[in-house]
Amino acid sequence: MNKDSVLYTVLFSLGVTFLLVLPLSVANELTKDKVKENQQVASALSILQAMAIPADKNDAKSVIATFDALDKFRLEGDKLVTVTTSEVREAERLKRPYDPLYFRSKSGDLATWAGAFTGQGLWGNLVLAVGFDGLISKFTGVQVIAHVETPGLGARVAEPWFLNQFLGQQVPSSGALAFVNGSGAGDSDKENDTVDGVTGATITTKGFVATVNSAVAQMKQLTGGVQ
Amino acid sequence: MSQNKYLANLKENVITNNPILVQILGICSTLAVTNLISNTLIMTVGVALVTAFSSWTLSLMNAWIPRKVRMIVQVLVISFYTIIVDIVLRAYAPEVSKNLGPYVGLIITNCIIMGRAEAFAQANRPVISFWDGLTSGFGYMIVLVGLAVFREVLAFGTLMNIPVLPLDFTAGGNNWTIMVMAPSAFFLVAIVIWVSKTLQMKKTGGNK
Repeated sequence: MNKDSVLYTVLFSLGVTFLLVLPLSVANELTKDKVKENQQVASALSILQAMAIPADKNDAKSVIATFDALDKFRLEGDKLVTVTTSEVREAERLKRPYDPLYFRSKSGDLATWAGAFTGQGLWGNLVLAVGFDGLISKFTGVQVIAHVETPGLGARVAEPWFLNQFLGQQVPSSGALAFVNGSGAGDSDKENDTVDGVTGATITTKGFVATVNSAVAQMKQLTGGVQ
Repeated sequence: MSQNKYLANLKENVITNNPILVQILGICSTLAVTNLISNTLIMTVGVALVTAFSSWTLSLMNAWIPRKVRMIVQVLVISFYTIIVDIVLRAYAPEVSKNLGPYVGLIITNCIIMGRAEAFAQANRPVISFWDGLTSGFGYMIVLVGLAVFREVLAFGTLMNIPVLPLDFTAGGNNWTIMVMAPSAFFLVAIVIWVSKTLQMKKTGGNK
């Protein structure tokens, strides 16, 4: 057949598209469950790390088991109601994973709380897991569940040096943390009301801190009713 | 003799016909991904592998590709390998995939890949085409990692996220914010091209 004929060109294009797209579909199908599991483990791990609950990130089963053992609530009116595991699995698939959910871990009288809160980054939603001690006087941690920020710039809010600033950071009495231009190594002073921002990512940092501050306000209101 | 062919190709793609320094291809990613070495390395390895496999595949298929749809087929093959890289990262290296975000998909648009398909793979055998893709990717990697070393040290005071400059470099706000941002790569690429052109002209005895 003439290589430049219309028929050959059409048949060739169809054939080559089929041959290339088929393996892609197969690869996607084969890795679909693995990708879903990765997302589930990563989201669960963010909540656990925000609550300062030890979890081995390489052991997916134990992460999920530890996560499933938490008390989970959602807000109905201004009351917290317990949610089922299937509702949690449903929330994992949403664009804002866990956003309407709150988590509690209790040992004796000591409780740790966490919630998922959605704020605005530069390019889109920034979903954070924010953890508090029972009195909402200290952060137990903040983790990023989902973001769409620029790699190397805004995406650096998901790096340990930035997130570690919130470990044990005191919740300001005014309720609002502020960010400052810092050393790039993170603010290690847990008593002051500031954290260091990310160089070159002012808008992302602003959105991040605003989300954390709105989390403080929500959690204070919520747990005030429970404890 | 045949070994020489491979060595000559390596030398050409890394030094005398470097994709960034001489061909000025792939500049978008040069600006975007070079402020942290770790991201740069992963991205350039991805580009090198996609270039190599695309060139190999296109060279194999060359005899059957109608000229009219040549470029469409090239893009199709390049997309195929890029999506494979994306799927593999998402399934087996979710953290890397999260870090690089949209940049993996953007490998498709890297001009080097299509450039090599057009300029080399069309007219050469599959194995040397594969090698040509790999060495082009390597030439690209060397320049980008070099830029990333400058940018990361001056922007964050770190190398591969390990602090290398005294803390008061960054603590005092003495770090160069411009190095974090994409425009700094414009200046750095320009300087590197200037230096490399000057050196090459000295070598070839050119005076203009």
